[in-house]
Amino acid sequence: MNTFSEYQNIIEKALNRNEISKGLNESRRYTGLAGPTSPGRYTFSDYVSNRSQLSFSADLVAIANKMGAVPLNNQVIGHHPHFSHLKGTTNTEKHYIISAFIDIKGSTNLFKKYDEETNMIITNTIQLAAINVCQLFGGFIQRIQGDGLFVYFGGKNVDKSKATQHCLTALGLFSYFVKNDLKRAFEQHGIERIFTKIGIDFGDDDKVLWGVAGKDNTSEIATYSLHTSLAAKMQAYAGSNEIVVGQYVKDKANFDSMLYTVVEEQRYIFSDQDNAFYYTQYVFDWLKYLKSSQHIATSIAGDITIKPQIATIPSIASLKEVVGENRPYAKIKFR
Amino acid sequence: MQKLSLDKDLKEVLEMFPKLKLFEKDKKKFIRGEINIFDAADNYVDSFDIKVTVPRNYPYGFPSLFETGNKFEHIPDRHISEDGSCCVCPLQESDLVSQKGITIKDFFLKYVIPYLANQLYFDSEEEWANGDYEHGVDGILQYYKELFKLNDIEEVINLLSFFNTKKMNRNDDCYCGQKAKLKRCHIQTYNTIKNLSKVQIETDLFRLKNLSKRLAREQKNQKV
Repeated sequence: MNTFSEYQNIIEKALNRNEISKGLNESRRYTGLAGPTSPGRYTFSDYVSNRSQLSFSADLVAIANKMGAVPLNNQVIGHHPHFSHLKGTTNTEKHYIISAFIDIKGSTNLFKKYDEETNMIITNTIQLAAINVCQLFGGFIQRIQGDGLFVYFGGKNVDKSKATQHCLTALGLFSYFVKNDLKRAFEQHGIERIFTKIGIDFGDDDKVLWGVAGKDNTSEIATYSLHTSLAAKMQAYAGSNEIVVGQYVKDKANFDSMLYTVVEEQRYIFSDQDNAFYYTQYVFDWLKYLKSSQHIATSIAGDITIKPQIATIPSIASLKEVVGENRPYAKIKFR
Repeated sequence: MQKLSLDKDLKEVLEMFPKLKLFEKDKKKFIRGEINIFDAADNYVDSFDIKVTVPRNYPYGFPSLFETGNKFEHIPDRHISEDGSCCVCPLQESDLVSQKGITIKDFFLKYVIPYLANQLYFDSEEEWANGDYEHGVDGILQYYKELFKLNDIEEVINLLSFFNTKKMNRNDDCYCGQKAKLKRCHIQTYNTIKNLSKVQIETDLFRLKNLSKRLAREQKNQKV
C-alpha cells in the first residue's frame, strides 16, 4: 500500500544513512559518512524540512470524504474544539466520545543501531503518520504520550456510528502500514518487532463526563469515563499489531460480527457483579475489515491498495502477463 | 471426502478474494461478489462483480463464470454466451478440464482472472491479447484446424471421425502419413483428442458435418 509512502521514505532515509557501524576497534561511526559520494547523514533538520511536505494520497483523502469524515482543523492538544467552552470554568458536560490509545512498541530496538537523533526522527515520523491519518478521519489528538497517542473520535453533531467506523478505518490503515510496509523496511536493517498495540472504546452520552483537568496553564479538557479508562486497559491486552475494542464499539460500528473475536485471556475487561454488568473486549480483525471495504482492493498475494478514483491501466504489457494464454470463445446458437 | 475438499477449497478462495461470499440455492453452491484485478507488477487495475457456480460433481465439471456488474456489453463479441455465462475458453478445453477435475481456486487463477484481465485489455486495445476463437460452430472448426494444423473442413471431419472410431498405440505409425512412430510425431495432439470425452467428439462431429453441408449448399447457391 503506497498510502504512507512519503512517511516510509523518510524512515528509510534515516535507516539507510544513519546506521552506526562498528569498526575493528569498536569505534562507532556512521555508514552514511563512509564514502565521498554518500548523501551524508539524514539530520533532524532534514526531517523537519521534509515533514512540512508530507501528505496523503488523493485516493485516501477521497475515501475519508466518501465515508463522511470531517477533519477537525487547528487542533490544540488537550483542548477538543467541541468542548473548548469548558476551558477556564468548573463546568462539566456529558457527551459521547470514542477513546483510542495507540502505542508503538519495540522502538528501543532502534538504539542497537541508531543514535538518539535518528530514533527521534523515526519515532516522530511513525507518530506523525498516526496523527495525520487520525485527523483525516475526524480524530482529535488529545495527548502524545511517549511513543504513543491518545486520540478521541466523534464530537458534537458527529454521528456515533460513523465516528466509530472512521476510527476503526483510520487505525486499521495505520496498523497495516506498521505491520507491513514499515516491518519490511525495518527488517532490511535487522530491526525486528516494532509493532502497534491499540485499545478503543466507546462511551455513550450518559457515560462520559467532560471537564477541565488540572489548573490554569497546567490543564486539559478531559473525559471522565469508565470507557476512556477501559480503552487504555484494553490496549494492554492487545497483542502485536492488534486492535482491541469494547462491546460498545462493536455495537456502534455495526460491522459484520465475523470481524470480532473475544479476547481469550480475559473476556470481561470490566465486571460489576452487583449490577450484573459484564463488559466484553474483542480483538478487531482490521485486516479482514479493510479487505472487505469497497474502497480497498486486495491482490492475490494478500496486499491491499486503495482503489484510485479513476481506474487506469498502469501498464498494458503487465496486464497482458496476467491474461497469460487466455483466448476466449463464444457459444452461440449452433445452426 | 468430496464435501470436505470442496469446503476447504471454497474457504481458500474466499480468503484469497475477500469480497466474495458463498451462497447456496436449491442445493447449488455459488460464489458472488467483487473481484479485484491487479497486473503482473501488483498494480491495481479494476474490479468486476461476478458470480461463479460450483459444479454438482465438484471437482469434476467446469464451473461457470457470470459477470454481474455489466461492466462490458454482454454480447458474443465480448465472449458472453446466450445463457449469460462468460466463455473463458473453447468447449473442448472445458471438456478436458471437466474430466480431469479443477479446484475452484485453479478455476479463478487459470480462467476467471485471465479472462477478466483480457476484457480490460480489449477495452484498452480493442483486440484480445492472444486473439480469440470465432463464435459457435466456426470456433469449433477453428479449434480443430489449429490442433490438427489442417485448413480443410473435410480433412478435419475425416481425422476426427478416425479418432472417434480408432484407437492408436504409441508405437503405431503416425496418422499424419509421415514415416515416424506416433510417439515421436503427433503424440501431443493424439493425447489431447484421446482425453476428450466421447460426447464432446461426437457432438463436435455432428456440428462440423452440419457446417460442412451448409457451406456446400452456400457454395452451390453462389454458383447458381
